[in-house]
Amino acid sequence: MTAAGTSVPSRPSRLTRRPSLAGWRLLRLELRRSTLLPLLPLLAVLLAFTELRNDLSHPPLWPVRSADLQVQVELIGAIVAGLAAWTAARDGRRHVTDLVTAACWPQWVRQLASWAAVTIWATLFYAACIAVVFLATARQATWGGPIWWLPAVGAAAIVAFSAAGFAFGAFFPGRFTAPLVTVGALFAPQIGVLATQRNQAWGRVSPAVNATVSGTGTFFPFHPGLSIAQIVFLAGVIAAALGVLAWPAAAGGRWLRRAGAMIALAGLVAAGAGMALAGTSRLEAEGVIVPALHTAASDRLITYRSACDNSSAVPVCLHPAFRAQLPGLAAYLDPALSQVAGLPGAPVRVQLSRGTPGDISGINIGSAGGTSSAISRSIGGPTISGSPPVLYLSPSLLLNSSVARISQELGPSVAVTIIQAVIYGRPAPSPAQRAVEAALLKAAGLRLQAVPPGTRLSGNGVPGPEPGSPVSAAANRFAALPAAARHAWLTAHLAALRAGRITLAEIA
Amino acid sequence: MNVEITDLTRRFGRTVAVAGVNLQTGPGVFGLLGPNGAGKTSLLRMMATVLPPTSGSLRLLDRDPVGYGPRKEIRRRLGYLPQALGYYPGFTVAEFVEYFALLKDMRPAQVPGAVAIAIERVSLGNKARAKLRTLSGGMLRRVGIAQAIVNEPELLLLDEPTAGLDPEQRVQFRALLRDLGNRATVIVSTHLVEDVGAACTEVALMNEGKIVFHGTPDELTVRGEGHGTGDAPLERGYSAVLAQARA
Amino acid sequence: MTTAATTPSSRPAVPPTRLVRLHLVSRGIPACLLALAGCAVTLRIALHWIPRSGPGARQLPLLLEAAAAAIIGVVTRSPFGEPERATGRWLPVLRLGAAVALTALAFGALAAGSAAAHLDYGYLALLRDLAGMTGIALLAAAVVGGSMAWLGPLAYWALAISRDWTTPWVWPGRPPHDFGAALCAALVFAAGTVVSTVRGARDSVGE
Repeated sequence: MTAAGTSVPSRPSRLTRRPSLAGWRLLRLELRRSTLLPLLPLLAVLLAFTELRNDLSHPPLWPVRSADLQVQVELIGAIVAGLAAWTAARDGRRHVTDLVTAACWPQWVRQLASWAAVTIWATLFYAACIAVVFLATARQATWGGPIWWLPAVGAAAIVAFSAAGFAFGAFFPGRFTAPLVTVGALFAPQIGVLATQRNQAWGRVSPAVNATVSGTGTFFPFHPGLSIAQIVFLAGVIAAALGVLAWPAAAGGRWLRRAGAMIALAGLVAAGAGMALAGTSRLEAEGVIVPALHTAASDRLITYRSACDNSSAVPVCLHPAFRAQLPGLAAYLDPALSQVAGLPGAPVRVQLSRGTPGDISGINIGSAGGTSSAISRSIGGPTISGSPPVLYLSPSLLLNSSVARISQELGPSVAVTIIQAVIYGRPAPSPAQRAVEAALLKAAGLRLQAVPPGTRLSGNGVPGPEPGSPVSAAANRFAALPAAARHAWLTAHLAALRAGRITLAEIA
Repeated sequence: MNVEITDLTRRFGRTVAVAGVNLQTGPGVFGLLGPNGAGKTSLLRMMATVLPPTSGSLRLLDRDPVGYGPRKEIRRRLGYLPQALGYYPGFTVAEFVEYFALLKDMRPAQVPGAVAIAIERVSLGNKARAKLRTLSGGMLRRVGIAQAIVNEPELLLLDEPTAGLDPEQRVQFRALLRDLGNRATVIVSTHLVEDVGAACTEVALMNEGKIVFHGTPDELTVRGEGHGTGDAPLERGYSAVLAQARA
Repeated sequence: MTTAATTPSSRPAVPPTRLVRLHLVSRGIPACLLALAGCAVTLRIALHWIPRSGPGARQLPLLLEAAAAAIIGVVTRSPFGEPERATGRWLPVLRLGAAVALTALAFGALAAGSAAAHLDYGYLALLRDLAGMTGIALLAAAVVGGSMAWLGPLAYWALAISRDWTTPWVWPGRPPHDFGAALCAALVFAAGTVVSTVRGARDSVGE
C-alpha cells in the first residue's frame, strides 16, 4: 500500500454533479453483472423446447402467433419475477447492507438500478422471442401482419412481473422468497383465467387472457380495448411495486419517500382502472370488446381479394391468409368435384361463405332476459347455393389451417353434399339416384358402409347400399366405368335421373 | 472537530452496547481499542450513520446525521470499512470499488482515476480485473480498504482493517493511515495494539460500552508501567487500564 | 483447553437429537414447513376451482408439487460453507435424513390438501411426480447451489406441461400406474438424494 500524497479531488457542487451520468454508469455495472444474464441461454433452451416449439407448430397466421406471444409471457415472466426477487435480496445475502447504507445514494435509487438491469435483460430476451416467432411467421404467412398490441401486453407483463417480484424480494428477503415468488407469478395469471371461465369479466385483466377469437385479424379486425385495459393494469402494478420500495425510512429523504408514495398510489389507481375497464368487457362474436374503448365503425368485416387455385375441376378460392392450404384443399375436393363438373347443379366454384362474425368464430352469444348468458358454439358445414351454384365452405373450418384437420372436420360430408346436389331432384331419392350417388362417392375415394338405419358410422364412412342388393350391383357397375364414360352418361341422363325416371336397369 | 459525540448510548434490547460515550476528535488517526463486546463496532456503526443511536447526540463533519440532507452530505464525505466485509463475488476489484465510488456520489469523470488510485494504494493494481471470488481473505480486506478511501473521505472509519493482512502489508497500511490522517479524521477500531502505536495520534480504550481511557499512545504506555501484563509496553498499558476499569 | 477423545465403542450410532434440531434450524426448516403447508392449502383451494379432468386438472397441482420440490431444494443450502464440510460423520446422515423426511412430509401435506377434493391422477402419481422433481431439485442444488435449486423443478414443470410427452423421463405425462415412469422418477430421486448426501449443495454461486 502506498502513502504517496495524491491531490484531493475537488468535491463537486450540486450544480456541477452529473447524477444522470453516474446513474448510467451504475446501471451499466448492474447490467454487466446481472444475475439474469448468465441464465438467459438456459432460459432460451427451455423456451425452445416448450413455448417456442408450441408457438411455431400453430398455424402460420399472424393473429394466432401474436396471441401465442402474449400467453408465452407467463413462463418467462414468472422466472423473471423469481430472479428479480433474488436480486432484491442481494445486499442482505452478501452482507453488504451496512456498506451500501453508508453510501450517500438513496436506497431507492440503488434498488431501481439493480431492478432496471434485470428488467432490461428480460425485456430484451422477450423481444428476441418475438423476433424469432415473427421472423418464422413472416416466412410462412401469406397475408396480414402482426397484431402488435398482443406482444405489447406481453412486454408490459414482463416488466410488471419483474417489478412485483423485486418488491417482494426487497421486503421479504429469505431463502424461500425466490421460488415462492416464481410459483406465485405462475399462479397469479391463472386466477384471472379461472375467473373468466366463471363469467367474471374482471378476470380478463390477466395477461393470460387475450382478446382474440378464431378469425380475429383475418376476417374481422382486432379490437385493442382489452389489451389497453391490460396495459393500464400492468402499468399500475409496475408503479405500485416500485413506489412501495420508497416507503421504508432507509429508502431516502422525505421528499423522495413522498414521491414514492404518490407513485404507488397512482399505480394502485391505474391498476384499479384497468381492472374496472376489463370488468366491463364482453365476449362478442368478433372478440372481446371493452365498450368504453370500442367504436362501432371498427366492426366491419375485413375485405380481401381471394386467392384461387385453378388446378382442380373447378376453381377453389380462399382468403389469402390460407393461400398455403389451397393446393391441398383443391386436391382434397377434386375427386368429388371432378365426378360432376359441368353437370347442371354442380358447383362452378368453391369459396368461403361470407357469414357473420359468429359463424366465423363459432361464438354465438345467447341472450336470456336481455342479458348475455349462455354461449353456444356452432361450426357451419359446406353448402351449395346460388345460381350458378357455388360450394361455400365455412371460414371457421379453415382456421384449423392444415388440410389434414380440415378433412377431419369436413369428413365425407362435402363429397356427399356435392354429389347429392347434382343427383337428387326430389326429397325421397329413387333407387337409381342412390345407386349413382353410391357409385360417384366410391369413385371419389370414399368408403361406403352398409349399416342398418340408426346405426352410428365408424370413421369417415358414408351410408351405402346393402351389399348384394340391386342398388349395390348397379352402383358397382356404374363405378366400374371409366370416368369419362360416367360423365358422358350423366350428361345425357341427368335430367331424367333427377326426375326419377331412370331405373336401376337403365344405369350404364 | 470532525467528530463530536455527547453522551451517546445504544441499546439492543436489554443489552447496552454503548453507554454514554463522550468523544471529540479532529484530523488525525484515532485508535479505538477494547476487548470483544466492548462496543467498538456499535460505536463505529453509529458514526457511519448505519445504526441510529438510542440516545445522546452525534455530530459528524459539523452536521447532525439525524436529518436526511445532512446525513447524505456526511455519507458523501465518509469512508467506512465494516468488520464483516460483504462483497458481490461476480464483481471484479475495479467494479466493486467503482460501484461504491458511484454510490458515494463522486463525479463520474473522476471515478475511473479515483478507482485506479485507490486500488494502487492498496497494492492491488495487478488484480484490478480479477473477480472478487478469486481473491484471498487478505486481498478482500484490501479491496474493502480501497472502496473506503476511493472518495478521499474526510471521515474514515475502519473496523479491524488489518485482519488478514500479512506483516508487510500491515506496515504499508500504517503508512497509508498516517498519510490519510494528515487530511482527514481516521478512526481505526482494532485489537492489534501495535497498529495503534505505529499509526495513531490518539487512542481510546472501551470496555463494556464506556470509554475508560482517552489519550495518546504514550500516555497509555505510561499507565502500564509496572502494572499490566503483556509483551509490549502498549499491551501492558492496555491491560492495566482494563484491569483498573474492571476492578 | 481440554480435549475429550471418544473411543469407537462410545460413539453414538445416530446423531444426537440436539444436533438434528440445530441442523434443521440452520436450514430454515420451520419456514420450510410453513411453505409446504402453504402449498397444501393452495392445492386444496385450487382443486375446488380447476376442471376435474383434462390438461387443466393437471397443470396447477403439478405446479404445486414442483413448488414443494423447489422448497426442498432450497433447504439444502448451508449457511456455514466450508467449516461445516470439515466436520465428522454426521453431516451426510443429516443431509440424507432431511431430504427423505422433507419429501415424505411434502407428500403428506399435499395428500392432506387434496384429501377432501378430487385429485384427477391419484396419490400414486402425486408421490411419483413429487419424488422425481425433488430429485431434480437436489441435483440442481449440487450444480448451481441451494439458493438457485428452485430453477430445476420449475423448469421441469414447464417442460412437462408443454405438450403430451410419451417418454417415461417426463413422468407427469404418463399414466399413474406406468412402471417405466415410476422407475425413472425413482432413479432421479435416488440420484439426487445420493448426490445431496455425499456432496451437499454447492456453496455459493456468483452474482
